[in-house]
Amino acid sequence: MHKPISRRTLLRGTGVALTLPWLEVMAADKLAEPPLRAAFMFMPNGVNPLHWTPPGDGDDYEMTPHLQPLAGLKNDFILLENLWNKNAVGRNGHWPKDPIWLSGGYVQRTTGSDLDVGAISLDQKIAQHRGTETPLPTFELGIDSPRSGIDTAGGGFARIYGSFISWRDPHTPVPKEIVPQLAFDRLFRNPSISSATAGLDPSSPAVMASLQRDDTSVLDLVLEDAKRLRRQGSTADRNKLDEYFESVRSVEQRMEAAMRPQKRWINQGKLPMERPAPGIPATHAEHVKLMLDILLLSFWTDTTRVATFMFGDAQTQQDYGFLPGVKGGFHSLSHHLNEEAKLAQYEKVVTWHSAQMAYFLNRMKSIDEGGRNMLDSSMVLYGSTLKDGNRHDPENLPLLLAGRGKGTLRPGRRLRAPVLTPLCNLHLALLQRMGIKEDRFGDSTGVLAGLA
Amino acid sequence: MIIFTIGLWLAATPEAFTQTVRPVLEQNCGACHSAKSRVNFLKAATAADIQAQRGLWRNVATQIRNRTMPPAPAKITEAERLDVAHWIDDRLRETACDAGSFAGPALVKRLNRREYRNTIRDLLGLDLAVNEVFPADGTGGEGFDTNGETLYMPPLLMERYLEAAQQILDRVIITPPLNRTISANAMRPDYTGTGPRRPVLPGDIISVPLTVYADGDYEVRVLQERSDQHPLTYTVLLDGKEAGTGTIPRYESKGPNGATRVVRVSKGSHTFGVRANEYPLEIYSLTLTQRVGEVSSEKRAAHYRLFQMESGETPLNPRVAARRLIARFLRQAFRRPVTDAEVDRLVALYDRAAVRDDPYEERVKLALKAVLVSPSFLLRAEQPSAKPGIQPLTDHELANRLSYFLWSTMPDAELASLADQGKLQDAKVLAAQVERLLDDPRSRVFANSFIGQWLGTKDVGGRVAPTINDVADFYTPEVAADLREEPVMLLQHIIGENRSLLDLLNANYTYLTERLVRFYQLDLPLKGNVFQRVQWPDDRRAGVLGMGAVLALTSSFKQTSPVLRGAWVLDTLFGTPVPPPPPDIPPLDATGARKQKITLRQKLLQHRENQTCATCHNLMDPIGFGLENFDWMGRWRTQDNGQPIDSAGALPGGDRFNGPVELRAVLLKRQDEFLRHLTAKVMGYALGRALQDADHCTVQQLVDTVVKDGYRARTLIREIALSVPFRHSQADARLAEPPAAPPKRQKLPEK
Repeated sequence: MHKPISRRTLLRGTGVALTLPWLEVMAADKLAEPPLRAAFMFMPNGVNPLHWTPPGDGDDYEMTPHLQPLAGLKNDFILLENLWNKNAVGRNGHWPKDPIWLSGGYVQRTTGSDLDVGAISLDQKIAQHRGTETPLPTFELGIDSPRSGIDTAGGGFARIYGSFISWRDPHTPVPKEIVPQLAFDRLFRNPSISSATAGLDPSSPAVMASLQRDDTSVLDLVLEDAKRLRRQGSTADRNKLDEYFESVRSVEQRMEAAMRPQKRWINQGKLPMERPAPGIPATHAEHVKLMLDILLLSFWTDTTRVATFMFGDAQTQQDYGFLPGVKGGFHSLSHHLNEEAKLAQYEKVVTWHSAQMAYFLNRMKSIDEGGRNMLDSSMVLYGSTLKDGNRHDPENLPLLLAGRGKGTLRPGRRLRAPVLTPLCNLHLALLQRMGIKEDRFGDSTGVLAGLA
Repeated sequence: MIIFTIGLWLAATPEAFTQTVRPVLEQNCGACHSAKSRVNFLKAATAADIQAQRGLWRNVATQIRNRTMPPAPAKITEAERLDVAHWIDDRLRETACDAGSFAGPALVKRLNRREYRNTIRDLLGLDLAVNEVFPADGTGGEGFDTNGETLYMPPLLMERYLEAAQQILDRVIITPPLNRTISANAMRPDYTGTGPRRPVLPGDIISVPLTVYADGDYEVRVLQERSDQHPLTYTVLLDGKEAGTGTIPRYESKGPNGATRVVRVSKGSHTFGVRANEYPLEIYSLTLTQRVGEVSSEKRAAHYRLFQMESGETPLNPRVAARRLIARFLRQAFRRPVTDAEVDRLVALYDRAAVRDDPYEERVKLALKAVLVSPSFLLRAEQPSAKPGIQPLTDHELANRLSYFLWSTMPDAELASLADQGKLQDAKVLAAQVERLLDDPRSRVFANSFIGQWLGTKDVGGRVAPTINDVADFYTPEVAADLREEPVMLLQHIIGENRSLLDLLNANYTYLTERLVRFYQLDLPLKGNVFQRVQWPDDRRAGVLGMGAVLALTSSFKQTSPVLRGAWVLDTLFGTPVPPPPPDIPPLDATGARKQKITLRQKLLQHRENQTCATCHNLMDPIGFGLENFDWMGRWRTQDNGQPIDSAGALPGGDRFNGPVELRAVLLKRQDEFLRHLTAKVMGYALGRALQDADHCTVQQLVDTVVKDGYRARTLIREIALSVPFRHSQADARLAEPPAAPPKRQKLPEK
């Protein structure tokens, strides 16, 4: 069969440079300075508390083994202490904890007929307010395919709870992209714009209209269909037709947003990155690095300003045999019972994650955006929903917040909040920094003090 | 009615309620849940009173089993917890039919990835690898990816549906390649000179707007008066940007000379232009030709199937033909009759493309694209009846339920035609269709997706067993695939031959490949890696409990787990899960055992000295002990940690066994409980929702019928298809039972 040349083929090999004229045109209205971005980097299965939290109680601290890979970045992050999600207390080790990392909600125990995590997640909250300012309102990335089935032994939770930290509403998780190529393509594709090919001039209104009009007319039609179906049927339950309707509307809004010139930040030069090969990379390390690179690219091209990344889903059994001396899956290793041999392997795995964060943060730091580096204009939260992976304890979560938030954060120290401070106090602080004027978020009791 | 209980706990008699259950609840819950409180389940003085508060009592069982109640510090013992929860469950099940029939609501659910892929295949003859582009489906309800509630429709998926629709149609519809020649006259209508040529001075541009319908490479050919003095160079401009230069050599030949330049163009409207460089040009025309490779015979066949005409042929009256095509396609894609108004709306899309003079095929494509992203295609949306109570589904809704249940795809022509004739609600016709669908090879998809998800064996080789060096000589990705396939083959055989469902527990045969023979270390003269049925020489591996996939799935890394295996049997095979461990108890670790030179069994026995742990572990561990001869990969062994395997066990009910054969015999005493759970699972898969309290009436009726009919597989499937909830909906039913009141939050420590 003759293989038609797809948009993807057109993209292949052209790399990122070719899309830049498009970006420039789209941003008829350029931002004068880089925007503030937020990234939320989730690590499953906790840490060894003794290797994470430094002793002492001053502003300054000695690097602990888990943090060692981040030693060179000590002046670029705040080590956060004593934050927690009280709704996770006394419940199963993973399922009711992970989906509320960014929301603080209460997860209903269910096998899946009435999923409920009690709250919207921080990234989606930001997107509700600011999402139309960029081609992608948010960008969700991860490594693991969502888990299926019910964990009966773990108390009857649907396992898909553990696969999402982004929740559009308490009942609807936002799927994450785990295939690098699809994630990459998403950055350079807009529902209204076929492809950024050599010579295409999207500023020409005729071209824009021609490209756009078909999809919008198709969507207008199916929206009508959905409305009609909705009128005919009515049930008390949340209706899949509503979900369909909202999704179509959201794709339409993206098209409309793309038609309006969005105020975008345009970076000079190039950020070379090959279009990834199809499928899941052969090794976990390669997979993680690619996803981090793509996340970086999404910020660099100003395609989005809010992103989430899951190094792994709840209870991930990712095989870390590629680390010397480590054998077995991550979750099994996290239950080390403080036996020295196992603990040592677990620590290596956790520390490996810090090294990936160091790679990511160093890359952000190396990117000059008109006089300041990308990390200066960002807020990157990294951490887990458990402290001790062996015991599942929810207090004093291992967290760090990197970046200067365009001068709203003062990194290079640790911030010891009062014991048992809601994690949502931090979320509220970040929400406000993203320009959203709210005085409550989740179970916040106030704005976390001392970040600046 | 006979009620089968696993016999390990309190019998579901009314007396047990007044003698045991209620007193335990009174003592542990009475302080808060007095008869006056809002959650006043203790109002029930006798077992009969429970009927008036069924939902509340189901909640009581769930919360007690899940440890959300009573709050700490609770005095309830583990044995009491188990007894009370099981008594309530059994009682509710036993009395489920007292409340009358139940059908569940009309369902609205999205096609899952498997269903979408199969439906596209049957609709258009194209196999699209959607698993690579659509995000994974969630599972829930009874634990399957057919569960409507967890089949979300996020915006990301909507985008992918739009792209997939375009891709699918581009792959089955052949649009004649673009080949347009525009004369210089047409490009420069302002020029008043005579003759076919138009001059272009150096630096000047002559251009023309053109729409292209496919991304791809296009040849731009410029025809120019011959030059006898010097070669001429020109630049091709695409949307005003340079896209390459061409040269026309001098004295090439007499008359007009041409030169061709290939440019890559995306779908859409573009401006093609030619700029003269150092010398003036005398242009005759500009030709744009799409470069296409050879069109495959498959694509031509798919095109013909849709258009009922060869590619390139245009019907005499395109609009009439298009309307007919759209109406036919719409009927198939929506899997129900369509109205003229629905067809008209799509023809309007055709017209829209016709106005701008798109080729015929592209106009049709635009209309069909809307079909493929429309809610009636992507969702299975049943219409709730306007009348209250239990009402039959329409024939087409029923055809869809049946077809997606057994084939994971759209109804075929025969089902559609029976539905059109209104015959499907006839029980005899429906039963015959069940047989026909099961006889069709397509029913394999049911065996595959049902058992893989029910047993959890679909994860083997992916999540469950990492590739590791010390097993590499007998365990490979191909072996893992065969292990996943083994239970599928068994179920397929049971359905195909209409055998007893108890074969799942005790079949003395299985299907193996040469690879599996090596994996199981068997002495069998089986060659080749096509599955063949083999008779087991003895019963040690009979049924799914002897299968490597199940045994590996229920093991820890490099060590067996009697606890996991026992819990798996109780939960997955019998639907009687034990409560989760109290929070924050880490799983048992075997390294301690290795150090103490004792077996895992001995270590587990030590652990059961703790009375709190013992209640549940006395249920789980012995079952696992009976399987200890199977190592963590499911291979036979006689030693663990240098000690001989002791595979004896005793259940609290008094049943004793030694080894897998005797264990299986003990489990088979509870064959009806197994059947009841299997029935609930198949029903959950078929309906695509979580079963509710009221559904257990149907489950028990199905069990009774299947038992009477010798446990035959097809009886179960047929009776499910004929059951009230499968053929009806109930406008006043909800998809889920009202959620449990949130448990009281634990009091927070003072700051």
